[in-house]
Amino acid sequence: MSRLEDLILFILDRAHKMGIKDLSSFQLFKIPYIIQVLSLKYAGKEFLPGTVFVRDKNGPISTDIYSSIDNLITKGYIDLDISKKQNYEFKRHGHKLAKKLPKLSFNQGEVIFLDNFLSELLSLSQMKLKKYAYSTEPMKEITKEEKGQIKKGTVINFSSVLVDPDVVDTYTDTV
Amino acid sequence: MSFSVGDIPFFREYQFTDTGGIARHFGLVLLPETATKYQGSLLCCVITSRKTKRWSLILKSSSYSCFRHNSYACFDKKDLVSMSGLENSQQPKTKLNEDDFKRAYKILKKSLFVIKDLAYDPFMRAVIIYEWKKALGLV
Repeated sequence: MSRLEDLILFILDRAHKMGIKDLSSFQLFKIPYIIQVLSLKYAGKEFLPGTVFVRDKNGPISTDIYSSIDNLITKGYIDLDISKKQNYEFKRHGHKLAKKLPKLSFNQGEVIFLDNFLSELLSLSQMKLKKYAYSTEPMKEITKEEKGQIKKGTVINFSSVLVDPDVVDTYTDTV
Repeated sequence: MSFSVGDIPFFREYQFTDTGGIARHFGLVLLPETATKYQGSLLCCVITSRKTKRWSLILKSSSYSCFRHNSYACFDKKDLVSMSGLENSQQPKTKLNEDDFKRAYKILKKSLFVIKDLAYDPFMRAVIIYEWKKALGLV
């Protein structure tokens, strides 16, 4: 199982524990994206090395996440429920954990990191999640350059995420 | 009852992560309960009557009525303490006042980079710094 697949299963497990019926594709794109930003900002490193996010109409998406979800469905870890509301043009893809969470690769610090931020992110509405994603530095940079015209497919560059000054180790050499 | 950073609960059984030893202690909560609830524990640093050389913050009994004597939050003693060890009474017993909270963050932050304990992990450190800054209104 890849680290990204582990993360998706972890998110679905915590959603289940919080009593959330299922998660949409929208949530499964935005939450890992925000985790990646928070990780760079406060841990000083990527949570998902090598995962590529691109700009889409409603913010960041990732073909890596698409593929991981497909793999997890094939392996029987995720149940997918496709539904459509009468007044809404698009189908909703509802994802939920189909079986017990397997042993994941995260260490204790990573689990605590995820639990802390997921408790906040999973309780946000899709609208608030979108707003959160758009408030991050990489999305602000993209929307500024677009000048109103959405450039779908632009690879999101995380280099604008600055490490929080309190996370920079200024102590080790002085002790 | 839901614990936040800066809360001070009392444990009838405070288990130390490094030695496994158990004692009655106050603890200072370093992460909100939401971060550790699935592990059934709270990340705390122990509060004792003994000062440690450079990693302790004095909590004066004149400011915290639950302490009979001046006590010390020891940032070199961090533990994931089982919530089953909490005393069955109203919790937390008290919480850091605003001035001590700021002082605590300075010592805590330094300890996260220097002391190689369970919070030395970059992701654990990340959450601690984020939550303390949030509580201080800096995020």
